[in-house]
Amino acid sequence: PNVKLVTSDNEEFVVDFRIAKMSVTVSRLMEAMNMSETDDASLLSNSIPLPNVTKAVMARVIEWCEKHKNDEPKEEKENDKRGRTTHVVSDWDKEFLKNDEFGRLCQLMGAANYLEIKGLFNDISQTIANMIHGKKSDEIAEMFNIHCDLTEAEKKEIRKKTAWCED
Amino acid sequence: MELNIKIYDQNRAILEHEDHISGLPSLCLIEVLKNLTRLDIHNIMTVNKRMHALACDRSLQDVKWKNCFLSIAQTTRGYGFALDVDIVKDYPWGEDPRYIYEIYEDEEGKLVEKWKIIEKCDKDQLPKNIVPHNFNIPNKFFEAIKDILRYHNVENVRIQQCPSNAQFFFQLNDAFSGQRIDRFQCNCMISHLPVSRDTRTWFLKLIKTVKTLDLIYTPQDLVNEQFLCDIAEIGVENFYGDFYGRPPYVRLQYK
Repeated sequence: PNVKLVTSDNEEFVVDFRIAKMSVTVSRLMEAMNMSETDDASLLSNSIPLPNVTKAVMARVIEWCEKHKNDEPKEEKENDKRGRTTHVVSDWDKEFLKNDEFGRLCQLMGAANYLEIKGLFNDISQTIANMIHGKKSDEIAEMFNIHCDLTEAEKKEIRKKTAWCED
Repeated sequence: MELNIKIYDQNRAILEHEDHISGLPSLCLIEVLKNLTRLDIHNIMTVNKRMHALACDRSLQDVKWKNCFLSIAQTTRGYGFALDVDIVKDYPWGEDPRYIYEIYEDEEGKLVEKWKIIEKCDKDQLPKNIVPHNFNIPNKFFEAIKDILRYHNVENVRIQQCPSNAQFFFQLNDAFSGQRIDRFQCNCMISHLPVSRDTRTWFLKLIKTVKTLDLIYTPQDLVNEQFLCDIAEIGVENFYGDFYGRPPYVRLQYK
């Protein structure tokens, strides 16, 4: 059975029921609309509106879900040399996410968050964390074009508080 | 059927600004920060105001500086502790940082708290041969331990010349909540009364993750036969103690 998903730019995606169920948000909506796997009529007559996801992002989400539709539910973590807890991102996922510009990666993360697709969300959050890891404050700001609204005095104050000392 | 779907403008924000990351919801960014080290989070704090607020989120308190050594001891006037951080290259405040805290009562009976951070210190500078005093450890002392351990993970703890009673161990348990202590050492504990069952119970809770336990120079009545069975059960791999409390010391070690 197939499920129709409609994006914010009115693009309709017809996806396998199993893929639709990978999103907790879509699952809940289907339940609310009494759509079930065994009731073809309910699946045909309804479509799931996804106003927070654009066509381009949805296509990437579906591509990821297609690849992972047979995965066992698991969350692999490991500790790196410095004791950092990291999610294990498979080689396929690394390659998949490498193709996206950073802006698109953020959109994809927003979509994974909204659609509640944990595996995709974890892959992206780990990818962004890897970009930040080991960089200094100004390097992070420069890499992500973040405008710093802190004064030097405020920065000093923050560092002082973090150092937990009087002076 | 009408659906109530919350629409937020994250897509628009991402399209309108080059700063893509700031367009993400706070919860997403916090999840990213959970995959970083404490040093990374420290660096994030001074990126901008929003990042600072996110980096201070309570859910990130499990990301701590590693390999810390905490010494708690009686001082000349009150009680204090010193926290050594042993990851020189990762720490942004110079070499071998040591946090020092002390609490005592001044001449007018007012509580005084002092804390500082020093670098390049002599590791073994805890006060020695202190004349015992009757200053009761106030709650603020344990609050200060809690405060420093929010961002530090202690693997190694040494307690010296502190009261060996249930209240002290109970409050330490609370202060050490969430810590995984690997090595625990108690020296010259002060005990005016026989060690009670409660004292032993709270002490055992305190060392539940400990692999190496050093109780040489600890009041002998803390260690009885039942205590030895209990520490074997909780998985202590190395135990050092002076049986019967008099020389020559019998050092027990089992694996």
